[in-house]
This record gives sequence, structure tokens and C-alpha cells, in this order.
Amino acid sequence: MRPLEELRVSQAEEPRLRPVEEPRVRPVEEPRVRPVEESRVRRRVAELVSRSTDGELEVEEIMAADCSLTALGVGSLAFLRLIDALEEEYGVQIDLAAPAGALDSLDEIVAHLGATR
Amino acid sequence: MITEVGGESVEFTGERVAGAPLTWGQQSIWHSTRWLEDGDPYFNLPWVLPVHGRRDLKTVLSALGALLDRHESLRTTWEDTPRGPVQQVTGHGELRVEVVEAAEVKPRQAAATVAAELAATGFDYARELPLRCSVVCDSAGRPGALALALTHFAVDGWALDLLAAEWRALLTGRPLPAPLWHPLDQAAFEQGEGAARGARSLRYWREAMDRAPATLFGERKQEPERPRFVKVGMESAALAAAAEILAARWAVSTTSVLVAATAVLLGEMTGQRDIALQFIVGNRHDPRMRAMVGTAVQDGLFVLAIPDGHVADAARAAHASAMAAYRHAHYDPAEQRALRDEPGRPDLSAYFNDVRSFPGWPNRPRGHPAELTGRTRTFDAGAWDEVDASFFLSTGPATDTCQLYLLTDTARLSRAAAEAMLRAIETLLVTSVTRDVPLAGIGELGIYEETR
Repeated sequence: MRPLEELRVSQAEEPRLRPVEEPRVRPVEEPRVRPVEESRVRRRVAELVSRSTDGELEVEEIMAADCSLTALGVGSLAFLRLIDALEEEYGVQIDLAAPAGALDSLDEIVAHLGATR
Repeated sequence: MITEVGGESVEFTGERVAGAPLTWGQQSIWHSTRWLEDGDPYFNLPWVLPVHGRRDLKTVLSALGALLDRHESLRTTWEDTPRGPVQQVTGHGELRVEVVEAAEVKPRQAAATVAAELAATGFDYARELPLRCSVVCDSAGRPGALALALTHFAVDGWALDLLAAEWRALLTGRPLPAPLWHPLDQAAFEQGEGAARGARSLRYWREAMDRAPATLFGERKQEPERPRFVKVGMESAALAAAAEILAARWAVSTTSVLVAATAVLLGEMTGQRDIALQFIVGNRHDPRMRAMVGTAVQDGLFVLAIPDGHVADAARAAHASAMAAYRHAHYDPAEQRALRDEPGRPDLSAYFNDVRSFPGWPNRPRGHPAELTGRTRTFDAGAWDEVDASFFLSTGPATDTCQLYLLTDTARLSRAAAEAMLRAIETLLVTSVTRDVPLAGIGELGIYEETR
């Protein structure tokens, strides 16, 4: 039951957070598809983060956090495991040598996956 | 007093008898041993496994036998052949084990002495098993510890931690799942689907070397000491406290805090804007490698363009660069050497190695870092005629204080400068706890005058 609830909450809240003019900039069909897809990816990434920490961090905890993964307690080894898992799952190459530090939160990772696919 | 009271032999049996080329991790050690004289014990690891509870000799020997049965790496020999070096796993054999008795000292203390003795002579890699072992008993004849020496070909620090965890289980008779991944499997992986990963690492090295300065110390040369290479140590609870506070504040690891301070101070000292350090990388994030008893350590390349701003900015940039360095440390060492040896490649003789297996210093004293600086001490930690590095900063394993060691080539950096550098790392980070230090203002701290 939990995922559905969360989905509803995040969709309900989103319009308030977005700048007013944004819907005009985006393609018309996107807003209806993206939040659902994004929310699914977000949960899946949170699961991979949890697995990378051997379950030390729980999925809900990761979903709720508003800080970086490092601040949340994802150590270097777990982070590297996560990057490997993301590459495998999403068939992307993640280049840590590129302006990095930008992949240290759930939102940044989801955005990055959205941009590279 | 340690007296020999007998000898035993431990039989072992394994399912697989096979030979293969070396894994990349083994090749990396192989190359380093070629650099030393034959029989040099430098890559031997002395080690002690405590025997908890009241266990008899038979139980201890049977647990040791189980370790040998379980891990192919502990029954492997390494040999040079016309086609290159190979690893050979033995299926059946026995390990001679001495039994010694410690009087007036605890078996565990005595075991450290015995282990150091066992590790003092080089292994014959082609003919000898990669470990030597003595059981150390108390004066009542009860086993208190196992003293070991292992070659770095067979294990690294991570593998020792795996063995220590298994040892506790084996002594109590707790069943363990069979290990699924051995160096033979790793070698096959590296020759097969893992090759792409190695190629990707080397692409990173190529790109990172392009960003590294040609030399770290430039023209800087001075009359060296004899022996030329000296190691200075520091123990600082203040630094431990400061690094933990700053790591939490800046959302980076304590390793990244230490490496950032090192890079920033090296930049300040040498006038370089880009600092390259080779890291000693564990290479254990892959799930298969994670459970493998073997050696996986290889060099990683960390290159930091020191940013504008404050020490915090340098730490964040260093953390990101460190991740890239860790990620690209798994490759064919021969190809990496060929790349490094290309004309015009930079001098990469500066190293950083964080040996700790815990993220912080859980047993450090509480209190504000500035109040702990009075406890800091520095000391000499050895001298060598020849070392393949100009600058080697490493941590120690203590959990109550930050141990830092700096080995330098005194033709580049004097002993006094090395000590000043360690102190400067402490001062920079302790100061950063109370105020964010601008990178342009580090000179004003007056902390590294002696290093010039």
C-alpha cells in the first residue's frame, strides 16, 4: 500500500514546488508520464542503494532523506557498488571522472539516469 | 620465554588442481617483488589469530586445516615460466606447524614475536606454501593464539579480515558456506569479460595522467640524508577528532578529508595547482571479489585540480576525484606500466594509502580537537636506502588516534619538512573545525614554513 500512497503525495505536492511557467516549457505529454516513471525509478534506485549498504540503510529511509548519500552514511565502497549496480541495471556508463559529486543524492542519480537514457 | 614443544602437520585437501596466469592483483605484487632481491621478506605479512575460549590443540589444527581446504589461495604456488608467471593450486598436501609454549607472557603477545620471526625470511614462492604457522600455547599447554606469516601473493588486508571472521566460526564448529570465487576464477574473469573493465580503467589513467603535473617537486633538489629515505610518524587524537567532524560537516569520508589536506599542502609547498597521488586501492567493491581470499590491491590514480574557495571545497573535489581513482584501479598491470612508460608521461612517485578498515576512530578521546593537540607526538619510523617513491603518506590502523606516516625522499623533502608537513595537516584541519580556511590564505597560517 505504501508505494501508492507515496506516489499520490509526491504528485500532489509537486505543482506547488514547481515554478509557474514550467509547464509551458515542457512538452505537453511529458508531465503525465514522467512523475510515475520517475517515482518508479526513484524507488528502484533506493533499493539498489539499500542493497549496496547490505541493508544497513532501509529503502524508506533513503527515499525520505533530503541529504546526500554520503551524509546518509553510504561509504565509499557502498557507493562504488551502487555505481556498478546502476550501470548493470540501466545499461548506462557512469563516468565518475566527469564533474562528479553531482551523483551523491537519489534525485541527482534519477536525473542522471533520465538524461543518459 | 618462548620454547618449542613439538611439531604437528596439518593435512589439507581441495577439489580443484589447476594452473592459470596470475590475476591482475597477483601480477601487481609479482612486479613489485621483481624490484626486490630474491628472498627479500618485504612482502611478507606477519599476523596473529587469537584462540578464544578453551580449545584443545586438535580443534585448533582442524580449524587451520579447514582454512586451507576452503581457500585455494592458501595452497597456491607461483612460478615464472617462459610464457610468464603462473599460479598453481595444489589439491592435497600438508603444512608443518610448530607448537611453542610461552612462559611469563600471554600467548597472544608471544605470538606477535613468533609471527615476526616467521615473516623475517622470504618465501620460495615456487616451492613453499604461502603461509607459515605456529600454535602458541600457555604454560599449561593450552592454545592461546596462532602465529602466522603469509605472503602478499596469497592475501591482502581485506583477505586477512575475511580469514579472521571465518577463524572464529571454525573454532566453534559453526558451519560456513563454501567460498564461490577464487583467484583462478578471477584470473579467468580478467582474461574474459572483465577485460573491458580493465580497458576502461586504463582509459581513465590515460586521461588522468594528462591532468597530472610533469613532476611534483619540480627542480627541487637538496643534499639527501643517509639512508636517503626516511619515514616520520605522528599520532594525533586532535587530527582524528577534526577529521571526523569535518567529514560529517562536508559529507565526505575521513579519508577524503586527509587526502584533501595532503593535496592542498603539497600544492602550497610546491606551487602546483594540480596534485597527483597514487592510491593503494583494495579493489573489493565487486561482489565476487568481496568474498575472495587472495590479493586484489592495485594502484589507483588520484588527480586533484585544487579549486578556488575554501578547504571544504577542496575536500568535496577530493572526494569526487578519490571515487574516480578507486573505481579505475582494476586493470592489467603490464598494460598500465606500458602506459606509464610512454614518453612525456608524468612522474607519479607520490602515494597515499589509508590502511584503516573502520571509517573513523571509534575509540578516540572526546573533546574539542583544539584541546587535544597537546597530546600529539611525532617520531622517527625508519630509514631505507632505496624506495620506489618520493612521497608516501599512509595512515596506521589505530582506532584511538590518527596515526599518520610520511616517508620521503630526503633529496626532495627533508626529514624536518616531512615532520612539518604532518603537523601542518593537523593544524589545517583543526583550524578548519572552527573556521572555514580560504585556500588562498593557507600561507597566512604559517604552518609549513619549514617545508620550504
